[in-house]
Amino acid sequence: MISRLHAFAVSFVVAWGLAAGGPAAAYHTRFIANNCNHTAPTPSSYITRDGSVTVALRARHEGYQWGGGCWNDNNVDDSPGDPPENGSTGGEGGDCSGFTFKVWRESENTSNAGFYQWGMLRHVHGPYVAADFKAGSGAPNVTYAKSALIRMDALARSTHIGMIYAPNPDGTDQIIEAKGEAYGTNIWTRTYRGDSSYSGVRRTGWS
Amino acid sequence: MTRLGGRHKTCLLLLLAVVGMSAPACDLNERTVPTTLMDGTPVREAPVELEGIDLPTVLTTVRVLREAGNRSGTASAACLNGRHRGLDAAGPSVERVGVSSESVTLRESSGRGIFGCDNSLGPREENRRWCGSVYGVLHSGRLRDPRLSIACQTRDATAMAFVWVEPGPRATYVVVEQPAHAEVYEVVAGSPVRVATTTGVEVEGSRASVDLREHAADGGLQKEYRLEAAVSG
Repeated sequence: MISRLHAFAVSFVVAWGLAAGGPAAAYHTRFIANNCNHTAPTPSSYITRDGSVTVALRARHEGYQWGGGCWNDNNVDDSPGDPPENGSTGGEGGDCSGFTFKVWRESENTSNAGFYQWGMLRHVHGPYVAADFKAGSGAPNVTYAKSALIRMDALARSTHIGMIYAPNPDGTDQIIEAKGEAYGTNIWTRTYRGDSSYSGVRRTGWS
Repeated sequence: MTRLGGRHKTCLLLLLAVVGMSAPACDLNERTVPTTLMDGTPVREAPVELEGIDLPTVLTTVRVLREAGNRSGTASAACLNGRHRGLDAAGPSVERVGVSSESVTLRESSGRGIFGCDNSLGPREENRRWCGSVYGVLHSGRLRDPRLSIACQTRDATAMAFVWVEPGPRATYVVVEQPAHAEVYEVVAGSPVRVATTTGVEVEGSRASVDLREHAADGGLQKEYRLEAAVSG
């Protein structure tokens, strides 16, 4: 009887381990494959900060995907719980720099400062990582004094970037950002402006 | 001695066949073996014959600096105090110069990550020292992502890809094949190797495929593989 119980317990533990561990190891969604496209962007001669707010808010409550840049507008993360820092999981959402690139409507060519409207479901990340934005890399981007930043400028450090949705009276900011797999894309109150690891970044040429 | 591959033998034969004619048989402009590195240093070949490499080899230079952040005037200090102001570095930094690339790799004092700067001969805004910068989070001492950067360009504005490679324990050299030569990077200081290439870069997808080879100290091939990377984070 004891040996039967023992065998059952061992089997149960093994089965549970396989069931719990299996999906994590094999995690892969079909969100990008099933929903996203590679349509060319539409060049635009003029964009505004308010227009970029509209673009950004369509991504609010959507997911986060490392290296990603494609989302719908159903206010649900369609690929929750992706393994972090894995660009092959095929999930919904941008990462911090991909989200900024798309909201700032930039070109994939780093020498081009023009404006390009990317479709919400266009899977694109763009050529910049957060550290590039922080340094003002690329023709459209410049570093900017943090005290002078306004709506839809950004605060960036070597590992992250978020855009200013609205400054708060107390010196903090409401930041719209693709934060991470566990958080998705949303607006949070942050103290990035007062954090010395963050620099100010501006997308040039808009009003 | 450098061995000639099939493609190069064919090229040579064609050239010999048309001696005296004005039109070259091969696109020599595309396939000129570099004579200097990006900083003007004359090219040296790899010190050993690398198994299976048919192209002429070009050995990149590498310099390891202790406490690099304190060494003003160095590329490491320029990277740390420019692009990555606000980060603290600890331990050695690794400075590399290739045919058309330059890189610095530093380790963060907190142990959370490694970071660095990339440079090329191509254009950039305001004549800045660096055209790309990068940070990679370490998980149990290793990167999950090779931290592709495609922000740098060649002199003629061709996109370049920079990635960190974490070679196997027995690897002494990491090799990236270019159209006319094989660029050879020495593995040093237990640090990931920042390699650069113009081959396999897909600007529209913000991706790159880098064909890599790892060789042992005697030149023996350890591993040959393709690294697929995407700009992320």
